[in-house]
Amino acid sequence: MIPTSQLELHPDADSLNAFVEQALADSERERVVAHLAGCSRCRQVVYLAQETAEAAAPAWVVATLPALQSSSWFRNWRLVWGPAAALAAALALVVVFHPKTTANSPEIAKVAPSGEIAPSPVLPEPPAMRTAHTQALVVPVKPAAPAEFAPKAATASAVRAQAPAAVPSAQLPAPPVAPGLSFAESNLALSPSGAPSGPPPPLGTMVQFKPSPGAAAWQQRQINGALSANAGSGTEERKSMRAAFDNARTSHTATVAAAMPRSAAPLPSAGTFQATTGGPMIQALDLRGSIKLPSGLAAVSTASALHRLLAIDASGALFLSEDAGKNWKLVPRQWTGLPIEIRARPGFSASTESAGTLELKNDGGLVWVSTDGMTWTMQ
Amino acid sequence: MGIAPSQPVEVDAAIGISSLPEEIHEPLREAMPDRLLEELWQESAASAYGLTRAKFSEILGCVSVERNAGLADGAIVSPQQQAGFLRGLRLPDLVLARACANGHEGAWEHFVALYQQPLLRAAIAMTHSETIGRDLAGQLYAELYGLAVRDGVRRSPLESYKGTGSLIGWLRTTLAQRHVDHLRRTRREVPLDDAADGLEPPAAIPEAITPSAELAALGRAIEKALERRSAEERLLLSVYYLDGRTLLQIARLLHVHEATVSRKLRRLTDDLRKQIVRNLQHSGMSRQAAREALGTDPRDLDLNLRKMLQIPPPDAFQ
Repeated sequence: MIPTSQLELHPDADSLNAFVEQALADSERERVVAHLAGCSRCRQVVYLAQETAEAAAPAWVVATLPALQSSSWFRNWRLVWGPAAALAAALALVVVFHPKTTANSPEIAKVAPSGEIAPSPVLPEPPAMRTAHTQALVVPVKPAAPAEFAPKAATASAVRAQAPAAVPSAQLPAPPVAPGLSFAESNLALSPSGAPSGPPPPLGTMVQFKPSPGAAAWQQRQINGALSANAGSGTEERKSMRAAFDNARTSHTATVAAAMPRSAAPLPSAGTFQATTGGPMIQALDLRGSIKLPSGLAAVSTASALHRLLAIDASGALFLSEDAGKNWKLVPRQWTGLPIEIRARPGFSASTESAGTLELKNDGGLVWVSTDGMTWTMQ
Repeated sequence: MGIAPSQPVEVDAAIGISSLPEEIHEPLREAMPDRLLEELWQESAASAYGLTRAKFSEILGCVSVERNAGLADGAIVSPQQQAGFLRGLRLPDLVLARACANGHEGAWEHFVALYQQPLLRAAIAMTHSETIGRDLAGQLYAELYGLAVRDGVRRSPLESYKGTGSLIGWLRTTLAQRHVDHLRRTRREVPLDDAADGLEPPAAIPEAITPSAELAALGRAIEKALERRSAEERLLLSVYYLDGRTLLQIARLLHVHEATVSRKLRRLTDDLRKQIVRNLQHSGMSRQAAREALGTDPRDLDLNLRKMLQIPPPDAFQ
């Protein structure tokens, strides 16, 4: 011990070195720490000794020393990475393969039996699941087509050609619908939002599928819940359906309701298909794959109202057909940018055409509206 | 290295432990089982330096008594505790140091081969100067060699090495002590010429400012709050606020993680603040006034924090 003026005695070099090297027993360490707290001289000695020791040690030892000594709990966490990675891989496999197997199963209708709450249509679905739902949703409405339904368009002809083969709609009674609502009102083909990434399936394939009764019931309940405020038995169920179909009601449902007579009166001879890209939840039959445009390009967006059919091809040209797709004429360009979407807005009806509008949207998000499909004004 | 043992010094091998009273040696020797002694003897390789088992046992007994086997002063040491303490010693280093202190030539050769260059490098690193570093290392080397004579007996600082830490660490710490002592000594010594040049005409003596009662109460509250802190907390405050060490440096010093130091400091300052407010309230201040007193300009306070942190532990080094 060296007497100094600051403190009576200093720890010897052996104690200070043992403190630096963490070689002191608890009681001795406590004494050294208490001394160091008040002795700047010994703290300087310790700093110097420690810095010199670190300078003499290999760099990797100095760098890893604090981490190794203080993170024993973290080292244990490293062992968790292996099982965590395996679990993540297993989860990924389940996510990828489970929907496929479910979609391929003929028991798809079990997903939403009549007594259970239907899966929320708001959630995005894998393509395979979407196909299954499309099939389940499209078919039940076909029997509702009245016998007078005879679309002149080629696309509608395809539907007509397949429909009798699948179900003799004229002889079949209409399925139960919500009170005060004729099933003819839902005489539209429904498909969930978002088209599959691949080319759209031919219409025939869409109507050939025969759903199980459960799926038909689920579909019917969805229609009822969407179109009728009084429909649906369970409050929770109706809430979920109403939330899911909220957008659909504000766009296409209203369109359907306006376009279709409330009674089972004969429909106009032209098809009453609606826009294929308009609504998030309910869409009309996808006509894009069956339309033959004069440009020879594929249609990227189509809309129809009464006897008018509009289509945008891949180059952005807009075509209008007044005869359900037999003859097309190019609509003069009255917009800027590249048109990417055409759709019919609610209120477009046979009796009051002016009340409804067609909307064209370009790639910049700007919208042009038209009532006849030929004259467009910017919104 | 400037100094080498060119002339082997004839030193009695028993010098290193001669200071230990004989009455202490015997009970320890008796208490140490032969099996343990043999085990430690083999581990230390003491025979290479001509140390007998008896001398080796005396060295161990001396170290064990001086450190009380690592326990608190006055604690009764059990044989198991003593055995654990002895097994934890750096026996090869301890034996080498004692052999060197005793003037064993072979030990010195081994010591020079092992530690001459590291000692020189450490001295240069501490002083940031090769010249000063060589001087510092040379002086220490002379001391270690036992050139200092006290009471007619050559003494070497190596005798004070007890094997708790490594010998190279002990050498570095001893170097650091010498260097720090030298710096502190020379800083106090200002040449008279420089001091005379730097003198300015004496300014008017300011009127003594009598600290207000509030400031005095705040000073007492801070002092009492610091008194209640543990030794480690006071060390943390000293190291961080007085010495200005970084969190990383403190973490390496205390062998904890940097985040732990940060968390402890934050908690400590919060507790101190609360404790000071409580102390002020106890002294008669309202809570609002106590909180406002914390915003006092530190320059208005006549406090010596260094002194406040120098609270000697009950069993201080003596």
